[in-house]
Amino acid sequence: MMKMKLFFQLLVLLLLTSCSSSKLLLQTGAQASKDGILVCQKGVDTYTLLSQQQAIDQSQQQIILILSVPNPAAINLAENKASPIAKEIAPRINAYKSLLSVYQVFGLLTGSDEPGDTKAAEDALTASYNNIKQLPDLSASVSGFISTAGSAIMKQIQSGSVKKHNEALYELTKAYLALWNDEMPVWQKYLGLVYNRYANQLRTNPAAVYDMAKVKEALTEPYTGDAVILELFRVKQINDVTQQKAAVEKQLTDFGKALTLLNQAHLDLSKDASVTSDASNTLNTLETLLQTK
Amino acid sequence: MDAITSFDNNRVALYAAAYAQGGDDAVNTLAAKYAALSTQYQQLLASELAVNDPAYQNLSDRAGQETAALKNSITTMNDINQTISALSTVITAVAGIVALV
Repeated sequence: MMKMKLFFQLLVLLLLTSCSSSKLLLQTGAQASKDGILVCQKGVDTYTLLSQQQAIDQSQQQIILILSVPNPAAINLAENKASPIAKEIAPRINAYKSLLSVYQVFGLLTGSDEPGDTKAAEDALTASYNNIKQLPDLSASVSGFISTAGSAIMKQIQSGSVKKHNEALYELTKAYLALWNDEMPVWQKYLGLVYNRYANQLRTNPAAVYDMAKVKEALTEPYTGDAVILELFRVKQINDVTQQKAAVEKQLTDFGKALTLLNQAHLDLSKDASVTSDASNTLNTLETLLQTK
Repeated sequence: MDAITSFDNNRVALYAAAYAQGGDDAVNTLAAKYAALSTQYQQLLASELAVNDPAYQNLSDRAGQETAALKNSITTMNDINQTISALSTVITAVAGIVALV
């Protein structure tokens, strides 16, 4: 009887140990799923922002044309034709929406300690074990073991499933990241066209198109002379355009960093349990980045 | 891009020359040519992106497959839960019989 009791105590210990590491894996998996959704949404937002650049570019170019021709009243302002870039946005948004769906379902697997109806099943199991407890000659260790066994076994199965899908997510995010990094220089060239071109055009606008009284109102610097004031105004306009470009570039850079961190977290999670805390730290860094405006 | 910048730097003089030679029509023709140059550059950038379009389609497909695989895993987990529930019913019944004996 004593040997039997020792055996069950050992089993309970083993199950509780494995249950603890499984629980940590599930919690980190849930965090990865939540952050994965945020990163995918940021991806969709980033491509939406890129798609908005066409309208900004067209508006800027119309302004420059009006300011550059001898007879502005007679010019044909270009129709709003879709930029060749615009049709490249949709497949990328679709790809990130598809990845977002993966994380939503991954969240169902990891979102709580037990998916689906596990809690109800566990409750039923506990109720039946309570009946067993009433049986004569059943040791406390046995009934204790029985009440933890169902939950521990389920967590083991669940964590195995989470690990398997985490590996698939690691490969998926790695591919998304490779494409993002490959295309980043193209997007930078595009933003260069939209903003650097406009800044250069503002620099070379003819002095005759400016109303100097209004230019002076727009500046607070204590300088005099129309030529000086106009140049200062141009500097201010160009700085504004540069800041707009920097804001868009920051969103692109931050998204790249977020995707890198998400991929790193999946890599950490696919290693042994001792590295699960690394994954959690990586995800915490990612969450801080996502909260930064 | 160099051609665009070069035009931009001289655009006021170029438009003035076009106006002097052919009036508003000549200005509009020149503006359309400049717009076409800009579109051509964007087309060049778009073609660099288009190389990856099949890869994005492939990623969307893979993501769809992974979503299906995850749903399948969840169904399996729920099946295991149902088995545990059924097992508990059996245990309760056996416990009841043993208690009676």
